[in-house]
Amino acid sequence: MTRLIKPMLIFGLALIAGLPRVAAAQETVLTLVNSNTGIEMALTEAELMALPQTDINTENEFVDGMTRFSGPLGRDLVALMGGGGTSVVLTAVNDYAVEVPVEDFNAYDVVFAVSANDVRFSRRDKGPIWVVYPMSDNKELQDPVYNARLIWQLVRMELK
Amino acid sequence: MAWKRRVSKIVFGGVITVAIGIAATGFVIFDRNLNAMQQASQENIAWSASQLERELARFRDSLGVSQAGRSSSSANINQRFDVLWSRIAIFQRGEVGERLQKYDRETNVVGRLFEEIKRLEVDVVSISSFDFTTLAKIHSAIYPYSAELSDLSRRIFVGEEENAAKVRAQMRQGANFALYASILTGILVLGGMIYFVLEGQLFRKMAHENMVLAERFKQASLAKSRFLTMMSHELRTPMNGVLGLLAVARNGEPDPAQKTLLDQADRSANRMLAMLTDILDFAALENAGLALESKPFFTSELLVSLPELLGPVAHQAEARLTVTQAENLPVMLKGDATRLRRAYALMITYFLETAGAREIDLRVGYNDGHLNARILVDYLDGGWSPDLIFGDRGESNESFVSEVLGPSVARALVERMGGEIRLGNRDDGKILLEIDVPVAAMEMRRLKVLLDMQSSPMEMICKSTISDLPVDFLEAGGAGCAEVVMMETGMSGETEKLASIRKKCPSALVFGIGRPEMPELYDFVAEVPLEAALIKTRLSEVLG
Repeated sequence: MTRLIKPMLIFGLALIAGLPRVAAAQETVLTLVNSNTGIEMALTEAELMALPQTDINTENEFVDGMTRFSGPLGRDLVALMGGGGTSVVLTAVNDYAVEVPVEDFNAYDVVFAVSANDVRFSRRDKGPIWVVYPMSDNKELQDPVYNARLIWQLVRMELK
Repeated sequence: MAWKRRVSKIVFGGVITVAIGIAATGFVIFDRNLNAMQQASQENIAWSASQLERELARFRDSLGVSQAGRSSSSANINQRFDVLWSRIAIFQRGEVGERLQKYDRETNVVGRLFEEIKRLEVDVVSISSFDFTTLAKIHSAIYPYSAELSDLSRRIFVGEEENAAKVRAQMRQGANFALYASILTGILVLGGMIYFVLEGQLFRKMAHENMVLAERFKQASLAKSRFLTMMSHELRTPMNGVLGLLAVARNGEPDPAQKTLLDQADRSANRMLAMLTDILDFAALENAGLALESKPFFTSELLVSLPELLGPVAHQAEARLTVTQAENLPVMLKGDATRLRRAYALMITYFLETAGAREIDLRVGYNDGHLNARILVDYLDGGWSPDLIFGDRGESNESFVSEVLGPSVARALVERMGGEIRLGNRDDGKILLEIDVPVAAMEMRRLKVLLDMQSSPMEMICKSTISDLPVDFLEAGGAGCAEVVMMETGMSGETEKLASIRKKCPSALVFGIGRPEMPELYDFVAEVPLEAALIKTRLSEVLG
């Protein structure tokens, strides 16, 4: 049952996100693009926060000790875009981009974190969004390949 | 041989020590390699440094575009400023930050740049696109850092390359060590195997030689025992002849002096015969040729037979022998009655003939599955101790004289039966010897016996012979079958009568009393005069 409810909720949110009057009221923090369907949507901070939020506790080489990261899951964002792709291209505010297999989001709780230890990311830190992998719980993720996927200042996500 | 064993120990110890050394060193190398691999899998900080350099350049570009009066907006300048700020923040946190700072300790270019952009923050936030004065001020403030950041990036790149080279060298060294260690271990193991195979062959050869020697020794021992057995057996024949001739001589009319000499010769001959019997038993025990029996027997038979057997010896020694039984003694036991009787007899004979006993009391009881015989000896001369005979086994075994042959045989017999002989403590100067032998007690039942006699006196004799046994006598012609029929023989028609009994009671045993025409038809034949012991032994077997 929950398998059905979750996509429906996400689809509802997608509809809300698609309404131009809401999007216009706030600044866009993340642009979602599905190259397979041509759907493009711009999520404001409020809409991003309206998605189901997940907490993960992990360490990585860019933080001091164990840190709690909060934000929507990568697979929920893929579902929000309608799915259908095999990889996503994540682009940062400085145009740095990295391609990540969708399988990563299904295999692990990859969080599109908006805060660390309840402190919201600013653009001068890693904000608005930092893609974080649960590295402490999964030793195989402690590798430069996954370090490169810890992209911060994320502004665009394109499903291919 | 001892030096070979020492060499084996040294080789074995050496191989083990070297193997432990290799394993320990291997573990250290492995740990170092693991650390090196972890280091190799760390974030590439050269990239982070270049990102800072790049973002500074992009910020300067955004300022330059505005200075040139082109389209760069204040929002774009602010965005580039924020990104630059975030790249500096990377130097301040986490492992990446620590590693980056190591390269910037001397110059502190990042720290100074951070202070600079914090000073410029107000100007940047409030800047308008065509405020050329402020734009120029900001640009000139951050301009010098480009070259310094470029130098920092170069240092980090070179430093990380050197670190990577060290890691590679370390891993190569570890791999080489693993190779050499494997070769060395292989050589050691191979050498050890060859050595131990040769050693094993040597030990197998020695074991074979030892087995051959042991077999030879066993054969020699058997030959000795057989010789002893044969000789003692052979000597008994002429000794019996001597005894017979002495008896003939004594039956004549010797004068008193001759009679005394003949009596002495008779005693000596009997003594020698007894010794020969002891030697025969001892030899049989030595070569394990003595098989024990396990048959039911009446305890009364065992106890009654001892005074009969030892009476003459006691009389000759002018001693008093009493045999009593405890109340708890079972009526029937299962074991080797013959060997038990012989062990008791040998001990008592020894006390009578050697220790100068004047009074011997043998009391037999039964405790906890063991037949317990207490031999209490009151002897003439105080101070004599039988410790030498009944003490340490090895001492007595190797130094006995002819007198202790009997006790030695007795002790060997008791030990073969699983029992033990021990000396008890007495304050009254008497000797107490206890003989404990495990013997099973038989559950008692009554035997149904039918007496088929031709005359009343014969019936009375038979009854009195076995009256002390648990026997119920059945009436002739009565109902039911007896288990044993004692039938008088030597009359006409006895075969028909026997057939009639067999037909009536097929499972009954028929004992022929007297001299039957065809003894083979009977289960047991007891000639007249009746030998009570034989009949009782046979009946006890039926009861068992």
